[in-house]
Amino acid sequence: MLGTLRGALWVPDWPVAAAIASSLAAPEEAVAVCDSRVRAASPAARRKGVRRGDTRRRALSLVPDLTIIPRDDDRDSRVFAGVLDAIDDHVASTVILRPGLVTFGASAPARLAGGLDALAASLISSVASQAEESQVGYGCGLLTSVLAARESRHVPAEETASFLAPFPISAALTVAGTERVRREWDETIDVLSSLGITTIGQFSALEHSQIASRFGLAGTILWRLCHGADHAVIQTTAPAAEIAVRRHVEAIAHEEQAAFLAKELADELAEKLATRMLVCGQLAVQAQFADGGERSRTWSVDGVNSARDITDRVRWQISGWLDSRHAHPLGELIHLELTAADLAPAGTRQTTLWGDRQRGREQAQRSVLRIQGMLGDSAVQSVRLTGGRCPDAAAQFENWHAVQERAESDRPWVGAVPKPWPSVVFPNPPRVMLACHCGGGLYVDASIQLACVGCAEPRPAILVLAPMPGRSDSDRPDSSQAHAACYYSRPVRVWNYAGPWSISGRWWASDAYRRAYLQVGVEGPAALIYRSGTNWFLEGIYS
Amino acid sequence: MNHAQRLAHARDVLHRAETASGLSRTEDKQGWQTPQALTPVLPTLTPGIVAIEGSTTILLAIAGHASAQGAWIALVGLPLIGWGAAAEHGLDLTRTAHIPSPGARAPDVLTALADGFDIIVAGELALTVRDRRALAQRVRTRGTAILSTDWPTASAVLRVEGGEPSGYDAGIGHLKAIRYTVSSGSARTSCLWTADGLVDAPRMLRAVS
Repeated sequence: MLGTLRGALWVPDWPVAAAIASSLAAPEEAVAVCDSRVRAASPAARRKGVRRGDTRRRALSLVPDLTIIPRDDDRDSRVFAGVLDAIDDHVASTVILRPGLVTFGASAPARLAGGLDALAASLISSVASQAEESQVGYGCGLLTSVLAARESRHVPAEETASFLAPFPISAALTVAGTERVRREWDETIDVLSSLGITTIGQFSALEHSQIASRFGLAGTILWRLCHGADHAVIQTTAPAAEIAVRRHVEAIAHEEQAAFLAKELADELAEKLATRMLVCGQLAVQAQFADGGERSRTWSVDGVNSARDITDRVRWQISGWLDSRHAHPLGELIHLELTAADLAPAGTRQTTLWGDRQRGREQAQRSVLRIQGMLGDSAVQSVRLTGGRCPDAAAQFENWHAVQERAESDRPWVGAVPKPWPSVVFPNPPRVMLACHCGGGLYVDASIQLACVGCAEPRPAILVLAPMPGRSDSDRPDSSQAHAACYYSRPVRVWNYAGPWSISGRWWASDAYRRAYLQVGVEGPAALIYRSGTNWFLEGIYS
Repeated sequence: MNHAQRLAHARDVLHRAETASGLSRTEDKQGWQTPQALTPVLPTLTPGIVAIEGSTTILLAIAGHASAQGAWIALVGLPLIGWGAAAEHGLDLTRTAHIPSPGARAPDVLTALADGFDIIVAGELALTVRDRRALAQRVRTRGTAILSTDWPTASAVLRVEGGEPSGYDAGIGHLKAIRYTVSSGSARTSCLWTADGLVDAPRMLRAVS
């Protein structure tokens, strides 16, 4: 029944340690990491009586100057990656129970390190180099090792039962892998305590068959753990960590020098990825320049880990930055850091069996990255259709990212401008004027009918582009206006028209609008115009 | 047979199976299919440069049809595209990059795009005659097609005329179809752009007085 010899490394109050490592709090302060309840408290806060699970209000009443830091699971995992790196130097495979608590098979690494105590000492000193305090313990089975780590001791196999016996059963919750398992165990422990069984000793004295028939699988697992058995925990690999390489350099101003640096760092990063058999999904390049400026850019790279691919991207990026130096003086490059994130095991990705006949995502991605290096991130955009009632609100632009799947909104919008939609749409609609056959200006009256200021029988006859207002366009040339002028450089005759329809859009958002749309057939391509307030605007052209 | 040969053989078999079952349609002829209504003037879209003068709709229809077949498409220098219309033409936005204003570096941008995209849809760009010649050479070797609104030395030129809307009268109804006449050299065809896509135009009936 006894499991293998396992070690556990525990960093006390990890959420607090992570917050301190992220410079959110000072080490000596009374700190608590809370959501609605206290998740972890620093020693200073604990001395004043703050306990895990206290309400925030109670914690504040105990320690009025308590520094409260909101809980952030991402931060916890991210900072823990550094600790994991330190552990990796001594232990090959670790199981992360949660950020701050790791277990590993102890026998082999201990042989390598020359004994359990030597292993513990080198682990603790490595983790201390990451400025974290940790405790290491050994024991047979998962639960034993974790509880041993809390006391920094080695529990020999024969003492396992006597070591575990005095703990309350709730101590087993620390090894619950997921929130769901934890809830199940919580319920089991609740029932047990109402039956008068509170310690692990009492619990493990019960017969297995009784436990199994009353509590099912959850009870069985708990019972086996309390006997010092191993249990496969769900997370068996490291969380998505990051691998980074960085280099301080003498000031680099030339692209060629930068290319060498890029090659060197890329080789190093590729080497690191290769030894861990990983490929990265994201590559972040971060650079510091002599005048203190910083630039960083993250690229999504599809399962890339060859040095050549990384070099190319970094080289384009740096030369882009050094090139834009003329516009924004950044000075010379003095520090470069490459971070590979979104890691996945290598070999899980393969090219299609029948080959890539047409060009695919990767080639497209590569050209886009080159262009982004030349013109900046925002130069290449992805378009997403969000749907909407009028053509100019239907699309959203984001900086380019090639995504696998995207949910398109394909449902009909009630009361939308009827399709087909214009093939040219002006993001900044130019102002137009619509004149009646009598010469008067046309507008849309309260009953959504065309009305004329001059006569009683409104009929549009002339469409003319309003002259540019002088003030706004002198500093920002407007391509919409210029393009519209190509089509309607002079007043055009209106042959026919449809509408107006009233469309009220985006009423759920702050940029709500209400417009009356009119399709007008004119000399040249037909136009879609709308009345908003006291003006007509040209929304699009059916070119 | 070594591994490489066996893989090549396997690919060949799959390739034939795909073609026989009609899964892939672009196998026999090179290039991308064009909308049915435009086949008289442009049977397929092959690597090279096609200028389409006079209509953004026709430009989008050809690009959208190819995109629906799986092409990666980049739109360069076309800041005023109606994306709703583009999607109706079949443009798959997950495989589309949009570079609204490449500015003075347009030649570099087009060169980079020619390496990675199947079709480049280009608007008005700052290109010299030399740039255009170099690009024309490059896209032919890379197997990329450029659809341009403005390319004096294009290998094929489609002229689009018309654009008469129909479907409404004096405020009643709404725009249902736009009629275009597309000509290329001596070939000529008429088509209608409707909410269902680009369709062959019915013969225009003239009143005889």
